[in-house]
Amino acid sequence: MTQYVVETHDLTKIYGNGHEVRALDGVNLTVAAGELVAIVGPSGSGKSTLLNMIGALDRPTSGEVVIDGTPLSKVRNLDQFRSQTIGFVFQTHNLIPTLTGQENVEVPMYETTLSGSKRHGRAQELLRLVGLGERMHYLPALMSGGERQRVAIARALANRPSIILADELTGMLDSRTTQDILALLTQLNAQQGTTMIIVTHNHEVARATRRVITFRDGKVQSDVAIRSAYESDLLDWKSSTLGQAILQGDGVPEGLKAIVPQLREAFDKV
Amino acid sequence: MILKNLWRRKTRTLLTLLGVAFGVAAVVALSAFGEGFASSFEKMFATTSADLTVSQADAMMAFLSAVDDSLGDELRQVAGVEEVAGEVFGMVQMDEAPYFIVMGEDPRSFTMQRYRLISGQPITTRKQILLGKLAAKNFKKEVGSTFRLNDSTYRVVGIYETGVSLEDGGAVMGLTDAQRAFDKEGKVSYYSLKVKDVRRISEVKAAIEKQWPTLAAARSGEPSRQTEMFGLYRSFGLFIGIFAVLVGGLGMMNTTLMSVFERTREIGVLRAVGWRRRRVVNLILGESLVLSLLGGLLGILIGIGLTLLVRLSPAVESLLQGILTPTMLAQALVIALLLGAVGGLYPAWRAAQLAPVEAMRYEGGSGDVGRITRQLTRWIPGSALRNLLRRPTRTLVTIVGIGLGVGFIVALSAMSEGMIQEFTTLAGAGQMDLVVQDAKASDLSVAALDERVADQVRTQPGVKGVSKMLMKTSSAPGLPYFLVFGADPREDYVKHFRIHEGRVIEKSRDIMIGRFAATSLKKGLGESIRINGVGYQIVGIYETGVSYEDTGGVITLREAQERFGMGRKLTLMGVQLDDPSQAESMARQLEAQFPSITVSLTSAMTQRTQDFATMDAILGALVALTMLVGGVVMMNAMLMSVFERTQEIGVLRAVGWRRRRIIGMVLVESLALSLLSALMGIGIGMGLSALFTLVPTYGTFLKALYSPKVFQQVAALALILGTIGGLYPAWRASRMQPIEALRYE
Repeated sequence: MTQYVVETHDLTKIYGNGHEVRALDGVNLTVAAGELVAIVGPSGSGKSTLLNMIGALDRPTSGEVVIDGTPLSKVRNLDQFRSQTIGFVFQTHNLIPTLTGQENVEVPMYETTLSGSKRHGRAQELLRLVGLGERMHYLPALMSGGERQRVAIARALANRPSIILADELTGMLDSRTTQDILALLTQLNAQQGTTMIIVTHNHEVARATRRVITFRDGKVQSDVAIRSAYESDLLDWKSSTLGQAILQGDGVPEGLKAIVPQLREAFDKV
Repeated sequence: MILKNLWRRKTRTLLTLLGVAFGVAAVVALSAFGEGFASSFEKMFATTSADLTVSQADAMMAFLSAVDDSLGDELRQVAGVEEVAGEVFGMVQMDEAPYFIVMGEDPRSFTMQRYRLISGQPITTRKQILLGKLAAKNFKKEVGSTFRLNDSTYRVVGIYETGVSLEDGGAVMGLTDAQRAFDKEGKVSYYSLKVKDVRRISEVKAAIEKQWPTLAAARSGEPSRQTEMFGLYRSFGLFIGIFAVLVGGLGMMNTTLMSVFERTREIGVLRAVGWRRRRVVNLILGESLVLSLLGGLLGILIGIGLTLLVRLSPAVESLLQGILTPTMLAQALVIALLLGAVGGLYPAWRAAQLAPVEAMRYEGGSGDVGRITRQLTRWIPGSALRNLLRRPTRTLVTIVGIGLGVGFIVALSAMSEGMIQEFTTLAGAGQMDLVVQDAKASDLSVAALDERVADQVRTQPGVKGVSKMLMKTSSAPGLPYFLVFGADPREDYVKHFRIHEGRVIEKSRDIMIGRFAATSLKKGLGESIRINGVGYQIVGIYETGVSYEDTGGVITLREAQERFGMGRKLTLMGVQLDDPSQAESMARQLEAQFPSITVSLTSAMTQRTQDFATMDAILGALVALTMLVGGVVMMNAMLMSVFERTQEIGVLRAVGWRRRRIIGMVLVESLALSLLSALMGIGIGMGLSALFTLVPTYGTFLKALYSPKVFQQVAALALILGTIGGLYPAWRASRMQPIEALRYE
């Protein structure tokens, strides 16, 4: 039997009283160890809410999240659980601005029993791993966006978590830097076998992963395993306006009409 | 719009309001009490029935003077004088009232008229006493009760009311009883005179002063040295008030400045849609004025509440009766508005200077760390200090505000320590082991210790020697406070005045003067000096290093007793023991044997002196005030800092920091802030003390002593301020929910 790192059972989250919003509506998902998963979907589809539930930042209205075989409803101290099991990567400015790169990486380690010198050592090791050996003593304000995100990734790895959760981690980066960061994530995923769940709007990011889960209205719309970049592009195309047009045979541009049958065939495969 | 803006940050608005309110309340209450005390005291000497008060010319206050009671008949002979009444003023330290004023009056004299009886009878014979309305309440006595005072028992025959709280809190007895009770046999404190023709008062005054050069005749209500003294009290109240206002004003500026920073973007939009600079200035200034006005009103209410609260305790009421005048309230409001204007002007100017385009691009500043931190990271260890430097203006304003408060405390407690040290040296003159004081005197200036007790103490086993001392205030041209010491030339005490030039006093017309006095008076050896109308020859110049002594002079004990109407009386007595290690048990033994004295170890003497207890109380009030206002300012600054960093706190919580760690972080910052403020305060305090000593006449008596106690006090204050200021913000920070905090814009 496969060991799942993340399982959700009928996960439901309802916000608001009176005017109810079902942010998550009976979501069932499993993520196996070492997977690199992208969660996509329009804003308000529930992907960030899912991330908060998996990250033990919020409790569901009903249903259950199981991390590493532990149901979160049974965990008393969510703070401690978070610090030991989960690594977060947020948008760029979520580093502590008054701390240097190295000190930022050490922040999660304060809640462990590591000594000061061990902490320094581990932070430096992680920063070298993400390719920031040179500039670890700078404040975030003096770093580029990519460098800051590398620090954030190193910080997420600090306590050797089972899962890394990333929310729009490339939201503020240019496409060149996005590529670099993605390369780093895939490399870390391959080398360290860390499970990663990335919430994103960015198709480039989704393309770099092996599995894309699409959310719509608090439900899983599709959950597709991807074997190649070609498939990923096709999937992307299929979900676009043009792709929908091709599938429905309505409003297809003149130049493409000739190859519509072949395209439909390709779409059906993914 | 102004009100809405203030409502947006309720906690901050409330805290700022409280800061201003405490300051204004302090101004209101202090000036009410100051006014009450001073006017009560002045009224005592400005009875409607008396036209002139005749007292010793050199006495600092009329009640410290002593005039022969045979003089009354002579005064009656002066042309134009209708009636003459001798009065004795006594002040006693009692458990229920630290300053209990007892007047000795001739029952048949016109001065009795002012004590309007509300029950009982007037005084007819000896051992009868009238109690003031407040005193009766305070001591729980009524007509017919007995009243013990200085080891004698009196019968309460009546209760009176004059409307002057010091009098209503005191008592009246027959003149002869009072002379006996206060060791003033053959003396009165001063004479009250009634003239035949009110238009000719000045002539009578001139005639008396011409006939008796050592006397001064003061018109009732005439500005005298006494009123000068009360002017000083009043200005002291105002001084504390100003200090509270300064601290509150800086707090105010902080709030307004923060609200400008926070709304940089909004201000940009307002400017972009065409608002002129002036309109932006008006908006910000308006907010700050509304805030200060509300704070001022609240402060006035608290101040009035405080003055009313005092009425609950008759003991305090007899001393401190707050008088609230409409001027005072108007003054408080003006101060509050001034606060708002000063606190709002700079922020408003800052807001008006914002360029619209840049302002709209402003990111809320939470990601910024400030230029200083960016450049100095390497040299600033720990995130607490770096966080404080993120908002240098706010941190500076907070530090200066609290620093001012702490500064005043440092200055005052250093002065008080300095005074205590000088006093101990003065009393411990000639290496005394024990100091003997008059148990019943509430003030050293009215102490009268029987010399016979000194002679009895001398014969006790274990006592090596006794030194008698008399200490009185006089004045000399160029030296308004000239302390005169009476010392027996044969006793050890006199050796304490180390002779610099010349020799020690021997005869009654000899005087030695302090080196500082010699310089101020421009007098040298062999020259003569007049004190209380009597000429003395300067035979020696001494220096002890104690400013009280070096600005004074020493004459023989006998001479001093005669000159100041203190026949066979002493102010203090020093005792030398065969075995100094037995001092404590010896002190207890002496006290048990002689009930009229208190005996203290030389080092502990000031603790038992009422003057210093009063000073301690003032200092305590100041500390409490600083704690209130400073705590509010501090809390405000920390709260702002926490709100600004909501997102960061969210991140810390998300990566697993427990609540306790967040609380710790905020508390450390708050403590760092208060510590910096304390350092600033020590600096300001030292500067202030240096300034005080420059004040002419009073300055020479002030000497700051920076004992460890002063610094311990400041450290404790900083610790408390940091904790008060940090606890609530820390708690708020720890309650933030990680996801909400992360989402916070």
